[in-house]
Amino acid sequence: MLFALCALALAQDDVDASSDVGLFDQVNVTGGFDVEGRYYTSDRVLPDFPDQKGLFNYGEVVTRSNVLVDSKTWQLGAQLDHVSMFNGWYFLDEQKVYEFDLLANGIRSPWEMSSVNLEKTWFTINAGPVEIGLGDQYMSVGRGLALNLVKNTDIDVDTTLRGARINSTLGMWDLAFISGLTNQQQIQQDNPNRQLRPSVHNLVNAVRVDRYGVGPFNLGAHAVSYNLADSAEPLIPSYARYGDISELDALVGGASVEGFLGPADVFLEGDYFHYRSERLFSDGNIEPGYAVYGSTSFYPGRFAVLVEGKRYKNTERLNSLTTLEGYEIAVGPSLEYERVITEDSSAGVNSNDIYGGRARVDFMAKPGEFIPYFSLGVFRDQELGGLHFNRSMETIVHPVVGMDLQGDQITAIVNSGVRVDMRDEHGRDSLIHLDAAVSFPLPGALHGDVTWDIYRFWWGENENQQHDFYTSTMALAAHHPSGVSFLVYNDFTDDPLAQAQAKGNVADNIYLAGEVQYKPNDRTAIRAFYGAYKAGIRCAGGQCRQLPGFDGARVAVTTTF
Amino acid sequence: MSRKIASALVLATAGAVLFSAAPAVDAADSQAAGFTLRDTSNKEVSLEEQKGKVVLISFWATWCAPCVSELHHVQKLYAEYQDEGLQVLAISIDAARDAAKVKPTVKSKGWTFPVLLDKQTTVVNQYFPSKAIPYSELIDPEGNSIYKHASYTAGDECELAHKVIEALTALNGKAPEKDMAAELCAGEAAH
Repeated sequence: MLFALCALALAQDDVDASSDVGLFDQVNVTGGFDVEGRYYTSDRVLPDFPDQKGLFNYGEVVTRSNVLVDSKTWQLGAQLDHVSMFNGWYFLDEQKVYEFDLLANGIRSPWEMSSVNLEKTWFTINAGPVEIGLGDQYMSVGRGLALNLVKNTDIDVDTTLRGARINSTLGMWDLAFISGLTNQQQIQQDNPNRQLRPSVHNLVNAVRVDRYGVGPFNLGAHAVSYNLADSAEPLIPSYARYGDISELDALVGGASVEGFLGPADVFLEGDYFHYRSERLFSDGNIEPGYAVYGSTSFYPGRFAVLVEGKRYKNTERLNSLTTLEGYEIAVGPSLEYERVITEDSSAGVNSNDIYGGRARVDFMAKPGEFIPYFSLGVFRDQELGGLHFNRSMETIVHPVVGMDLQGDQITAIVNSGVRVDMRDEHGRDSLIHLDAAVSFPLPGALHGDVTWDIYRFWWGENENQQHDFYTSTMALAAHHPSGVSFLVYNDFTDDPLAQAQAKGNVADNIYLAGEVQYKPNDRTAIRAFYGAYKAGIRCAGGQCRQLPGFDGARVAVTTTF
Repeated sequence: MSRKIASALVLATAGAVLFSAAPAVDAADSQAAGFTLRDTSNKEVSLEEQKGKVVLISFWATWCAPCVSELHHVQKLYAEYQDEGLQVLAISIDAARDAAKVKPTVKSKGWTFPVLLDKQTTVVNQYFPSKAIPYSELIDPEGNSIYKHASYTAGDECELAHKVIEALTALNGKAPEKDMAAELCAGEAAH
């Protein structure tokens, strides 16, 4: 049926284009090419050879090529990644010993320490009201509670559904359907590549129907089915890993209503999670889940007000297997302030039993130029165990104040807050935080900017007591109109968990680095970096990831054509 | 550092410098990919219906601070040149889970140009598959992409203003009444 639709779409294109342009007229080819060479240094030594420094230093070259061929009605795209490892070995008793393997069992490569992977390839054709996509596709439904697979460049996460997608617009109706296997990006552009594993392909089918313009409302409904791979064993063919394909692991159904009510906008979504797999529950007891999310925004006078609320019960179960692979498959709004997610607060983000809300009020003191704001998040986290350090339920209160200043010469975005996780028993976790991004003119032809995040965290009473800690991340940059920029980075952390992953290069808790960037034209950027930065949790676009630290040198070129 | 690694890094750098020394590919006459998206007021907006105007497409997200700074300057261009044929389409690539934040952000910043929602990130995938934002394209009245720019550093708005004025001059046969480049480049000149 899909091929028939494609044929119909192509035929449609020919008919429409016959008097205008042909199928292959006005074909554009664009793309990008990134290459990065990284050299990792390590102070690790072999116990019996303490004088043999640098044994564990190694190098890595990563390239990423994107190409996009598009015409008036169709697009063909591909992303090809490559990684090569150098010097990742040493000799012991004249025997070559590898520090680690680049490739895990199941990744095929003619080279022992190199890999090339066609990460993404897709073809999309638009024919009037129908758009058909084949290959790697992105998809989210509703607010992402039931399915959310989109590319997250900032934290180097890119998981698609490799299969087929159909979007159709028929008057005020939108229909979207997708069926495919998850395809996780394997070669990391920004992070170390070790033990590259084959992607574990989970089968996902989703359908979403939207009806626009029912009075001031949009109505929508969706259903998503999950058949998670029974085995990650790479030598088993992809489809054979599912066992009985008719046995779904989870089925999610939901509906949403969005209203544009003049002075206010409203959104409400509800989802029901029907689980059939014991693997998604650590105690083996299967329970259904549900999620309710709502938001409203309104704009009285010079204020912009956003209020959001949520109730999530057993919704994170869907991510329990895919998180091990480095991505989440269903990501609803967390309502958290994501720049300060710690090991502790990530438990709230991923809680299976939580309710609460957040309100934010922006005041247009000088419209477009000076906007202070205040927000308050309050949650009740009732889940114990899992990622949680606490042994009792807790109430979380998190007020944040900030401002956005957009002057002609100076811009400043500043946020500061206090988060307290008040446990019913066993004390409280506390966090104070400040982050600022300021851009300002410097003498001569230079322009500067500084970003600085700092926070202090105090743990409550835990079974395995962790250390309270400070963390600071600072970047100072000077930009010249010729396209040359100089940057200095300075991190500090006395968090033993972060130091265990990467110690500082100045002292165990101090990390220092410098970088030179050159942009000879709009399409090319060259970067040379030397120094160290700390490990830590980084969140962007609602997803979080534990990113490793770094100590060494890197040279990178990014270009588009 | 081993000789092999040093050689690899030197080669990569040399290749980079040689590559960057090559003239940028002329983007003129490349047809911009068509799209239809809904704006923050639920209205459908398509690139096709903007034909005859100079269109500035800017991909951004609520969590992207450089994007907000760039759009602050874009708003000035739009306010001045809207009646002279400039259309701005700011396309938010916020994921579905962050969609509620988009309209309050737009309202609080005082942006008056249409802001479209690309929640599935399918449109940005057609324009800039790496999705590193901010990313802008300027499109001429015939639908050809005539200027592309990735990232934002203070001062970039000066070049953008020049490109917009060039395009509007070609469209109207005369330069716009007010020279916004002079205003937006004032900061750079002051240096």
